[in-house]
Amino acid sequence: MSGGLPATTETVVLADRLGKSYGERAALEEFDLTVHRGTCHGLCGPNGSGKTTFLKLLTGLFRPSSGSVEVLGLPIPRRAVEVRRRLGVLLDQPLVPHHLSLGEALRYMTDLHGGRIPRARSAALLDRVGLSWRRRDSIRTFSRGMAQRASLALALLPDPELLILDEPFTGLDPQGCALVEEVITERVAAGGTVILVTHELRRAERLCDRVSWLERGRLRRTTERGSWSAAEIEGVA
Amino acid sequence: MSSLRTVMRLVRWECMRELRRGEIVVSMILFALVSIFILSFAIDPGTQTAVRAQPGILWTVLLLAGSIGVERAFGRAGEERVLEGLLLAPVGRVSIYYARVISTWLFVAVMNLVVIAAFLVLYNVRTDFATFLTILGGAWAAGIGFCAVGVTLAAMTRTVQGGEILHRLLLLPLLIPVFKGVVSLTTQALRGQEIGPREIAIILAFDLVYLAAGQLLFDEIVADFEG
Repeated sequence: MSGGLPATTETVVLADRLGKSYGERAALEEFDLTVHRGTCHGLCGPNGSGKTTFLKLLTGLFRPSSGSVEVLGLPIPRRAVEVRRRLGVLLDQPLVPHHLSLGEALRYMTDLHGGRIPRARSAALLDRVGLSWRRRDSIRTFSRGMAQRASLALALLPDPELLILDEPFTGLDPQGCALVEEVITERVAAGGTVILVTHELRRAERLCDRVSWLERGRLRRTTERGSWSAAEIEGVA
Repeated sequence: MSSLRTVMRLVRWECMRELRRGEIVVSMILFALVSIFILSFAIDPGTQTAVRAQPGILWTVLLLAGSIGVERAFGRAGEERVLEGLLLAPVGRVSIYYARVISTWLFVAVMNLVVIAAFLVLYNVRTDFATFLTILGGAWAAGIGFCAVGVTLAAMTRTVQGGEILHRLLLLPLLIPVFKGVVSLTTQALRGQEIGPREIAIILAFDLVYLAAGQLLFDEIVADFEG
């Protein structure tokens, strides 16, 4: 974290008048966003505000209906495969075959990254997320919180330049939440970039250098650290 | 080269899953064997009618059993989001498509081997090993086109309500040309006739058409991925 200012001016995400429509209904409209390297950028907004649509556009799962988006200097979705080598994504569950053990899931993910990830990194990550003792167990036997920890290990495996976390605190115990906060802080301090989608405003206030507020598919405003308070917003709500 | 390596890695993971769980191969084989067994009661294998109907019976069973396998290419229970994980990984969509086609083809090929052997035994077909290999080779060649179309349709109907029915409704008519070729090849083999190059050419030509069309369509199908 950089105390309100971006650590560098290098742009990691650049969305320009980005839009996504399903027929007549616009899920995202005229969305402009710039995320700088070495920062944690929050995305907040009520359900259906367009956060997930934006993440899908960012990762190349969706094609934009209008506008453009660049990630790590490369246009999406045209060069999405190159971008995904440098990307870590945490969603609501590990997106690997659930019959695999955790150790196998990490090897599976290593294979998807062309086998370029050292084995020692997997072991270190399992220690980090506190799941070394379950490495031989099938992921389908994991509780919600453990699955979330496994997802975090999988997202961190390629040592991503850009880490995208979609509601990473869901289902985690206090130690798990502290772990996620620690990971975010460490990565930003090391010059990495984090995009954090969350409904937990107090955490967003604490962790994010900037927060973009979405509502009904539009960007309402982007606030800098210190210029807003979760307590005020929650009070209003 | 790296794409080929990625495809083979993905195929290896798919095969590992199947070796552990056996859900696709076992369900295809069981369905086919039960069907052949029941049909052998209905049509006395010793009669002239049965001899004439043999290629049709065999291929109806292989087609229906195979469709059980290909429709699960993207939709095994509890693993609906594995495709999303693949699409988020640094893997080209073409690699994902071919990995699924190859792994599904391997499963169908194993089923073909067992079912054709069982069919020849249950229907008292007096034949030599070369004929068995000819029929099996035809099945494996037709299987390429079958899996190319089946995997594409499985991706297309993955999230559709009643997708399994829709999958079969679309799959069977699309496969008519390739199955016309392979049924004709089987008929010639069972009659001890020499296999004409026409049947083989038809099967291989449609394999290529289906693979090319599948590759192009798959990219479109997953372009706006709704998990």
